[in-house]
Amino acid sequence: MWRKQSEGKPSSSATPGAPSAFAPPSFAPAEKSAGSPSPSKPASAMPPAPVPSPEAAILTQGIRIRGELTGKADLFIDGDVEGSVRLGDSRLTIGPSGHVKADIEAREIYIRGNVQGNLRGRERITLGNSCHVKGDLESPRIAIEDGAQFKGRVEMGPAADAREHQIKRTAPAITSPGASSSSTDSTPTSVPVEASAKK
Amino acid sequence: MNWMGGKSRLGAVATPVASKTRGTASAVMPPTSVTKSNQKSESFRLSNGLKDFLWLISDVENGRLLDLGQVSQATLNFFIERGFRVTTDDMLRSWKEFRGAVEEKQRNAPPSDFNEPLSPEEIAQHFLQNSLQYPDDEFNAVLVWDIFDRLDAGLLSQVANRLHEIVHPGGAVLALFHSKTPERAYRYRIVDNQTIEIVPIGPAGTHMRIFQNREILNLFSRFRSAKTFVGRDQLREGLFIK
Repeated sequence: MWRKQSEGKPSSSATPGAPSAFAPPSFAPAEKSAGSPSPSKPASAMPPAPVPSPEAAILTQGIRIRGELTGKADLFIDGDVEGSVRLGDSRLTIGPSGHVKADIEAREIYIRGNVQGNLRGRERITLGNSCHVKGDLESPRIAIEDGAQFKGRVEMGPAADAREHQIKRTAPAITSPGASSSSTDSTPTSVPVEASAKK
Repeated sequence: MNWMGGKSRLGAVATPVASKTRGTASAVMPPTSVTKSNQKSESFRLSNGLKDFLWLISDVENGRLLDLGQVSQATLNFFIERGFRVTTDDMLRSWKEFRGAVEEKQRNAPPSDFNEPLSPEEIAQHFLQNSLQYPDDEFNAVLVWDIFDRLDAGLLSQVANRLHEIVHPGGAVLALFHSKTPERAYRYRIVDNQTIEIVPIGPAGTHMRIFQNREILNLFSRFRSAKTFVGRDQLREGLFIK
């Protein structure tokens, strides 16, 4: 079930289109970002194509997990997960066959499958064009490709970032009350947002 | 919250519920261009409705906006950069999925006296029990786009009433209505303070009706004021203020 991708046997490059359970995810957005940008989406703001880290652990199609997933490695989910997913400083990718019913926390979250739950990305959340997401998004950067289906609240920008740092600070020790309230109640202002990768 | 910024901005918009269609309004720039086969045709529409809508909410601090169309990065960015918290709820898609599921369930149900098919009104009622469930007065602004053109008749008044409940007093709703049957279905993005990008997304199979101006005003009669604009592209914009 859980493997490092480097240990995987069949090579993905041999079967680019096949939905092999062992194949590392093939990410389409690379070609999408080459599309002509619309006036509302400057080309310079396009996000880089999400590339799975070679060390990513893979939860393959057909596997179902209920419970809490935590870890420090990058993770690719193409199966079913119900519970919660907390990856701290790692990247989570949910493949097109992935079905996740969980609140998710990770450094980067990239979704092409089906998710029900609130997402918190410490650095970035990307909703791919084939995704179906119900839940709230919170991240300093959020990229949404055309065709993504999303229902929920969005919070991004410095406020989301500040809140994340505040949570990290408050966890081990005491924090000044003033700092706490100001960052919690602040609203996003300028947003380092990435434009949609697909046109 | 200084919604109107001193002197009422509504005064410039309309007096209570008796707005009249202004023929001025929106220019189209350029007209919808159809490009070669598999290229998207896009148009950018100068929108007086959007301009007024944004002006009305320009003084809102920590505002909340509800977008009932398909999620769009451009629109999202536009409002978040202005300090809004944005909620996206693709209502038309939710409705289609819900209706499809109900119809399939009814088809597969064994015939029995206890399984009478639901009427369209009952289906709409069930849908709204789980849709648009937001606290009263939650939003300062709502983008409805053209979903009223494409919703089933049983939903129209109920959705309009629900919108009235979830909009904050003084809040604004921007809706679009086609004055002639469109050739295609569209999605909409906000480009800048007075420009909407209109992107065709497929055949206009889901377009249900053409509203007359009076019907629009009746539909939103609970709102304190209403104003409509008609563009040369036959797209009517409605701005409704609670």
